[in-house]
Amino acid sequence: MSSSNLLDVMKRHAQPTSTKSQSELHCWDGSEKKHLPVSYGELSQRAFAFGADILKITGAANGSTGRIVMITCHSPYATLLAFYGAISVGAIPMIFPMPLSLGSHEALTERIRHWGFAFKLPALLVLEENLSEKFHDYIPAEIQQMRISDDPQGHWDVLLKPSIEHDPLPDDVAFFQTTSSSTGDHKAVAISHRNILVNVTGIRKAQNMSADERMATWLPLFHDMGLVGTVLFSFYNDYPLFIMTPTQFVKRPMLWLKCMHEHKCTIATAPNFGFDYCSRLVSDKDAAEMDLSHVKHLFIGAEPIRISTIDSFLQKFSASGIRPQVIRPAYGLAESTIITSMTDPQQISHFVCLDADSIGINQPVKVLDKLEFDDPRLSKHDASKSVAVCAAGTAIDDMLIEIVDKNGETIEQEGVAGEIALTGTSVALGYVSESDELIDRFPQGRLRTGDIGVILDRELYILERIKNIVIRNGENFLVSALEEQWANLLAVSHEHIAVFESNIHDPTSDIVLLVERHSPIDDEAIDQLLVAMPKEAFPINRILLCKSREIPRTTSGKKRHFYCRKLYQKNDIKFQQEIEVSPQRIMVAMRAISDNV
Amino acid sequence: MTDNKTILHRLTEIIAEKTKLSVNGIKPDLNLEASGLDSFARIELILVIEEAFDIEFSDSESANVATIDDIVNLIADKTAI
Repeated sequence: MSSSNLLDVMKRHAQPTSTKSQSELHCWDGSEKKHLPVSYGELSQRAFAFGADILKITGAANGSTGRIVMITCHSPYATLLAFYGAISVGAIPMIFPMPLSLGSHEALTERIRHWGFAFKLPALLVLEENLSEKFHDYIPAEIQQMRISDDPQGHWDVLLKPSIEHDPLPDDVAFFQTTSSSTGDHKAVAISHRNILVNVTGIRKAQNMSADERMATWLPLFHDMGLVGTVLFSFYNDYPLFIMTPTQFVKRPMLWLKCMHEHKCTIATAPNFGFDYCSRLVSDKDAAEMDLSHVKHLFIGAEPIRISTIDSFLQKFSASGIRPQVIRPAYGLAESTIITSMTDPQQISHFVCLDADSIGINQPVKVLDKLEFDDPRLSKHDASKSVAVCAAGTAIDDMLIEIVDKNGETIEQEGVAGEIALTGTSVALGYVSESDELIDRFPQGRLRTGDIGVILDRELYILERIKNIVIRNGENFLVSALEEQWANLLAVSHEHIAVFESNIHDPTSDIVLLVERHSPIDDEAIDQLLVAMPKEAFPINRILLCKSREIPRTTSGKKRHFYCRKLYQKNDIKFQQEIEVSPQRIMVAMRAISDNV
Repeated sequence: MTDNKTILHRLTEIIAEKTKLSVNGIKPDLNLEASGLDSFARIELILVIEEAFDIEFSDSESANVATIDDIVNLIADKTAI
């Protein structure tokens, strides 16, 4: 496969004589209760026709280079048709989360308004046909719209080749990847054609995959793991892909597993949430009735990987043939296209137990124990006494992982922690900028990830996070945006607020809001505040009011969220008042108000 | 075929049970997006409604229903013979 860009891959599939066109995308139809297939060849041909329509609408006869195409569709099929259609005419696709993920239609229109006018040319908006008519009224008239059907088996125009001749260079932008799904920030990464092809090739090579793999997914396509890690990965490698939406998965997680069982899928990917959700909601009886013995790769990544997640999943599904050998922890982020490192498929993945106090930049970590996933001691591991960290493997092809100190200098000594820095062909072009250049490139092509890691026995371990995001249930919340929202709610400056996760290795841990405020808040005022709180501010579940200068800061006055977490874990934060913000409390507050209506 | 009043009555009971909102506070114009339910809770609520009425909402239908009234109309459409 010698494609140099994603369009080459589409052309290869679209050739009428291509045997590869037999590989198919299978979209789950909830009402028909079956997968509706469309071959990659036909998908590509339809995308070429959709690209021609983009040119007609925008009046760009010679291609739409640089034009942004915002894609807002529930259906994976419609999303991908628009995505590939934009690629076929040199436009830059950008997939947005839908209202059910964002919390409201308003949050989506806010994004459309932002990105729609962020560049020289107004962006084009692709909308699924059956989106609420009420929603259309909120789209500014200056933004051109295209409607698209979600039916893979409906009538579609096809073209055997792209409607214009163009040949993207490997380092041309292929698409923009938004990096935060939940907060109201506007940050995106520019991914090149080379980034995609090198990354998806690297995954296959690292895992020694055959030509006959089959994949099942429910991951959202606005997310890098869903788009690159499953869809583009399968499309490039000619693997059949069985796809359902995240909503369909949340309603019936069994569908994902049943799909793997019925279609003999060999690969699947999910964050902690997906595995936990299946362990919790699928009955032992249903689990035992499935045969998943053909599954070869269950990738788990994105957040710090929890040992208890893997342990519960293995216990629940061992009767269906899931073996510890197939659990494959990985490390990646949107800024490195998706995958940076993966564990060796020839080995059972493992984890180390570390002394929590030994974790810090430029400090050697103290290893207390090392266990494999099939070790009977796994279930007895006491998480309260140490930090258990999964090995995330070694770098995939063409990537270099370095551990660096605060100044960015490489720490050569193995076993000493520092920030993870990446260079290589999977590192994205840079962050999307509203300047004429479109991209703020990473200095010297080197990405400082904001994650703290350590190399032990040549393998990478992710220890901590210094970048200011909160991750919960696979969703990223930008700390600065949360702090801004809470500053407005509490009428204090955002300088006096710090939001942090109390334990990044525990997805049930508190998400804390530390507020420097002199006066206490009474219960009634808190209830009013909870009801008025925007949904984007929800992840906070503990508020601590403290005196001035309690939030740790650098000498230049920047807040040190990582140290907030350290202080919190040691009970060293001196607070004056503590407020619980549980969902139950919000419901009780709402009920009190609704009773008074 | 079930009439809208019966659907509303049953739906109100389901929502009250699931969300702990008081029955009196669940009016036809209550907007679910503004009700304090997060995305996950809304999907769970939709699932309970689907099971109660033996119907299935597509993703776009799930996203498009803003008010209780919208849900009642959608259920009426889907259960109509």
